[in-house]
Amino acid sequence: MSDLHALDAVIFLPVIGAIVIGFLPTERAALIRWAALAVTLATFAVSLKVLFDFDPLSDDFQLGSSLEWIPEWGINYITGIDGVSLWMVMLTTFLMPLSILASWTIGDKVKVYFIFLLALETGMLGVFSSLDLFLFYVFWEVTLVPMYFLIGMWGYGRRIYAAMKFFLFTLAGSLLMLVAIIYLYFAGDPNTFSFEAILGTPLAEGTQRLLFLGFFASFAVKVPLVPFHTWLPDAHTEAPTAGSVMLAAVLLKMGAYGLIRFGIPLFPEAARDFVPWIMALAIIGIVYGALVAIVQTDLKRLVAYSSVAHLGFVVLGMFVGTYQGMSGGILQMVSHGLSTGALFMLVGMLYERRHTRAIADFGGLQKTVPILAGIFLFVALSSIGLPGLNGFVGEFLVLVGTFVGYRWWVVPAAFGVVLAAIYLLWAYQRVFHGPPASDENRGLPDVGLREALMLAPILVLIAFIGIYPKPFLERIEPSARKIVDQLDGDGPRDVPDPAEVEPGPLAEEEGH
Amino acid sequence: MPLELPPVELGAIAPELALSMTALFLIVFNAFLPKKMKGGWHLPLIATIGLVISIALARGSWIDLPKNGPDLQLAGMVANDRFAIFVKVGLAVFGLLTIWLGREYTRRASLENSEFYALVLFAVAGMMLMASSADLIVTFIALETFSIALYVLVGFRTRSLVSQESAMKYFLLGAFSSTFFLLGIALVYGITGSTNLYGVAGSGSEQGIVQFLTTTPPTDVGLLVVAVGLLIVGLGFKVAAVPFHMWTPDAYQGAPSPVTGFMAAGTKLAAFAALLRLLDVSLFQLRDDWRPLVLIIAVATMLVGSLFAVVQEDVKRILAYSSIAHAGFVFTAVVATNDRGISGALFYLVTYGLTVVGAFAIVAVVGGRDELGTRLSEYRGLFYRRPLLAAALSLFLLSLAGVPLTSGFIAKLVVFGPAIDAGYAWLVVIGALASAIAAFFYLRIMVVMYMQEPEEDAPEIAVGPLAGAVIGIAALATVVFFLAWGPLFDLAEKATIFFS
Repeated sequence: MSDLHALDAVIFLPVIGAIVIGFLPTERAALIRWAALAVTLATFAVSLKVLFDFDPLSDDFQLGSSLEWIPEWGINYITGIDGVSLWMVMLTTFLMPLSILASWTIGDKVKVYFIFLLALETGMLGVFSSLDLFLFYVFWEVTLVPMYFLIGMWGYGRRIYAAMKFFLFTLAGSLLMLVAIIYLYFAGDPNTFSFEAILGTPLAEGTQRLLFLGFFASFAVKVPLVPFHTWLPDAHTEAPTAGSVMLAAVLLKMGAYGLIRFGIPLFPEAARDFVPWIMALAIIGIVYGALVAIVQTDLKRLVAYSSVAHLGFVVLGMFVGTYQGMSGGILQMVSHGLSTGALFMLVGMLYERRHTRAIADFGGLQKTVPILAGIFLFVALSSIGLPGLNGFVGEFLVLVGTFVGYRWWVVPAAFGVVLAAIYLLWAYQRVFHGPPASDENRGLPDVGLREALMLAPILVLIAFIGIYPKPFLERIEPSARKIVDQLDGDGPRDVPDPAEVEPGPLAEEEGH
Repeated sequence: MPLELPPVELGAIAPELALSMTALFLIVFNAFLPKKMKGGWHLPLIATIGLVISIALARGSWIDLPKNGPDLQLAGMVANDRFAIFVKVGLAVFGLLTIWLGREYTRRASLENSEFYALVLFAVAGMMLMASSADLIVTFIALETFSIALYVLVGFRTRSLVSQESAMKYFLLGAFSSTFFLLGIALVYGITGSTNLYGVAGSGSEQGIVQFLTTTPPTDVGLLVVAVGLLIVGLGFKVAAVPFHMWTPDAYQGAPSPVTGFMAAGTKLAAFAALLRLLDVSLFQLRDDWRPLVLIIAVATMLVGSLFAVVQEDVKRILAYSSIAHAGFVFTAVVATNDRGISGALFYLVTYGLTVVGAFAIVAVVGGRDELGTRLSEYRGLFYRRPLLAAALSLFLLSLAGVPLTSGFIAKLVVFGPAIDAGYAWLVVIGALASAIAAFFYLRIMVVMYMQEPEEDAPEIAVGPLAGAVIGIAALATVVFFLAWGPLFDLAEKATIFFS
């Protein structure tokens, strides 16, 4: 664990690239774009090595390194990944080059834009790989600043309001987490920020609850769980396309990831006490997010609210206390990253063609841009959870996992799936079918080569995970089991073997 | 009665002496120069040499000092310990940056003369004495020395009515708070029979406050608590603690920006040094009595500073309220009453000082000749006009907000940590929320700089080499004390071995 590994290269390659880009001449926009693309592709390539080196059977942290940073304060640079963080890292490195492609049309302050985007990537990768609470907090906060600028400088309409709201909401939560982290530091013996060393620290029940709430404040804002979600529609809607993609696909996952990486293992008893509350919030998020998405008139805002609903599923799965729920929640994080990322890209493409996001301004696009329409439908179906596409696998596992312990909670959750079909298909219908709302909708260019390149990898993965999720699930499962065992809930942790069960309720519970 | 003279040990106050001599020399030397040479390069040069000498003198005795307890000198009036040395070096560095910045500032505003430098040097000397004073009388003398120098410096923009007004306000309120402090000293003397913090054998004041507290039953110290309250008022005024903060926005706004930065950095460091020595060391045994008062002040200071800054439209006033809030954050370390709290506070004050000097350097540069451009609207699109300047100011603002990758984050960590450790997690939660509120107005400045287009007729911003150097040093310090804060914190820790 002592020497640096490919994982560390993955974390820091983007920021090194950002520094190099800083020295490129500002007016050579094309060069800067290609450089940014090259950096992110290289990062992805190195992350593939991490993926191949990863031992799928182990539930331990692996491939990490450990260096002293501030020994006087027990602060170390400790990294490492398990089956959860592995896919988060891969998701980030995979989507980043595509986001760069989606940003190809940015013509304003190109250099600073890509510097912020690359710095953001390092921040996100650091969050998923840190095993030292100090290091984790640093990366966690570091993601705030580039995203703040991305929204505020390259966003749309109310970008400043959205950027401020994003920053302040997240910061308020994070600072409460910081207080909890410092408390943990002093509770440890010897005082340390190292996650694995703190794990065994005995804490009084009341203290544990307060500390859990401190962490929860930060993560719940990020996920976001209703009622901490109000920053999300603004930030997602006003951000530039790549910003929305990164927000939805990765930044939200940081919240859910934090809950299971730190929330549950550090404070298992407190987490268990709060399970009903968190599940209730998750279910409210599923239904509320979907209902609000239905009535949106702005296509991008609709996609933004759909994230609230989908992240509800993720959190639900993580806290039901079953292996299936946890694995499903984690896989759903990946799936949501892919589908919603693609949806934001598609909305961005529509905006570039029509300079509007209002659903009412579209209509009849299926005739003018058939390929785009087809892709949109494909991605929308994946987001809805159509069997055979990626969204189904995660949602199904979450629902099955929930059913075992909390039978009746499945009803509203499954209802959320139906609502998803309503808002996405209805949006598809209004945008692509029917008569065009104006003549401007005619004669638009269809998907170009760059756009095809940025969407194709996502489409392939969407289908791949839908048909053959095993490579993903088998790496997730050991870690998922470990976390569920730490939560140590009251109910059953595993779905009973069908052979041992009397035929009956399980068969009809598919959720669709 | 034969007067017994105490042994003259000037070593402990050598840095202060060096500065005072330099200041006097500067004034006299300049008086003999022909008129056209009066504003020459020799002024900042001599001042710089004086400050460097004082740093060398202060640093020189660091290694010789005993690890525990102060080495009392000059009849027990002056404590020569690492705590004092740490603060003195910090103050001298602030002084250096102020001198360099002031050079360009005074030239541009046609205010150059030797008084500016002499006053800064006197102020630094007074502040240094604050840090090492072991007797309330010395504390008072030090307080007045640097305060009077600062009253003049605040009103240094002679053509500006705002500057005159703020100097007057600062002076009147300052004099008012000094009387509280003096009254506190009188009460302390009346109760304990001494004004000395430690008490020195064979000096006529064998019994200092520390000894008084150890020999007196706790029930008999009631009046001393009142006296301590008065002392806190006097020092609280200097650190801009609520409710003694009223002067801060006005004085900060009216003073020349280099001086404002110096006040924010230096005055806070000096006054907190005196406060830490008084409360956490000398009155340690009385901590349960003074702590409620300090807790109230801490909460009020953090919240008022953060909330009132939100509605300000002038960058100097925003930073003034922010400096109030920062005083509140330091108070969280004061209530911890342990070594770690004291070293945390020292670390905080030094890193905050470097950051805030940098921030005010940019304010001075952007403000233009007569500092007419300090309103928020003048910063519109600064990123498009001067990208590096905007980047540096953002760095300072993020540091003030306590965001990682800046020293401000570490500073928050090392003051919040001891407070949590001492059982004041609730206070730190309030501090965290106040920081979140405070982030709003730092972001507001960044919004204006990055997310709004510059005006067509925006005035040219000239950054001289010295101002550039000061901003660069401050920016470097802000980053370095994040990445490698261990060594500085280590020094702060070595400086504060009061309890063992």
